[in-house]
Amino acid sequence: MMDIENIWQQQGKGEDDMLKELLKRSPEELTSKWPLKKLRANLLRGIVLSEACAVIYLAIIIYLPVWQIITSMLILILFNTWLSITSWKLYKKIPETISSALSLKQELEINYARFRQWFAVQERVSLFIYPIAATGGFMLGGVVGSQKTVEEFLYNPLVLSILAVTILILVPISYFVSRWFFNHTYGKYLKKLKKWIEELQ
Amino acid sequence: MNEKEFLYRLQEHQNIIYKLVHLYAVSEEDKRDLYQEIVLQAWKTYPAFRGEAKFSTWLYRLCLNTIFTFNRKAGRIEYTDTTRFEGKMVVNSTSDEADRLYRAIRVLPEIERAIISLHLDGYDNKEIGELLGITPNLVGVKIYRAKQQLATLLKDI
Repeated sequence: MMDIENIWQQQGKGEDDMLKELLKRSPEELTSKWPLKKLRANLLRGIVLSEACAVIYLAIIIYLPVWQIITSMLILILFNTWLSITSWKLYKKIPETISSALSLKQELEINYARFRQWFAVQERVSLFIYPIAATGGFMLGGVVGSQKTVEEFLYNPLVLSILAVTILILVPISYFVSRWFFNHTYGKYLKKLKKWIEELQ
Repeated sequence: MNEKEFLYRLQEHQNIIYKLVHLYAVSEEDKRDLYQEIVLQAWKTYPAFRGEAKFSTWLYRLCLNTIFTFNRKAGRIEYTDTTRFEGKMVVNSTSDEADRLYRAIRVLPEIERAIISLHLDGYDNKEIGELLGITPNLVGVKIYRAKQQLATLLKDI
């Protein structure tokens, strides 16, 4: 049997061109593909988008000061504010770099937990914000398009039925689409993390 | 912090990065991404290095934490003749044996690969346990199993 300790310890003593080139460059020039860094960027993007939407809702209130519109827009603004605060709290919890002090198991647990928390936020968004935004858009579009008041527009039973069906269809669809999207993007990654965490129990 | 000093220290210990990346990278692209991520993470984390542990231990921990949390592409490692050295590595006379050893270790489950690599590099069970977050007893069990598996694999490869 070969002396595996000795062979192993001799490995990498030469030079690998790729690594050698990399160690000549300034580390500041390198770009990161670390998943938690991407998650931080996603959260920040989400916060900016959510706040931009809140500004648009505010503008709608100013230009269409009808009580039904004001109420639905205020609900949306509240949801967006809640979303931004939740996302910001999560953003602050996510480390910017790998920890060189934590064990592998702790590092895996942190990564796993932060992705699950982010998914919980996305799930709530898909359940509340997307359908409400779609309903608000439906009402707004209907009122503007038909040149009627909200009461007149909603008085038509057909319109009310369409609205009800829209909500009934949109809520599960947006919920399942967001679940599918999350699993498609991070499902395999999270399964691997979970498997390794279990192996390290 | 001095960038030159940091890069010099990394160059001195580049065998750790090399060995670990070659145990886990599936493709050339994967290898490049992992090298880049490890150097970048090491650079950002280096100011927190107080010298309580050896630099090599610190780097080992950082490499493992980076490799395992990095979203590596799924795929089987193909054991072609060019997989490991690709004609770029300056190899010594035991290259055939080294190649066989690499191929055997890469067959082990991923956590076991890390444990056996640390073990072969001379870390004791307690140190390995601390790096991975498991008990020294569990490390012992896993090393025992991995060594048995390695012995069989080295006969076959």
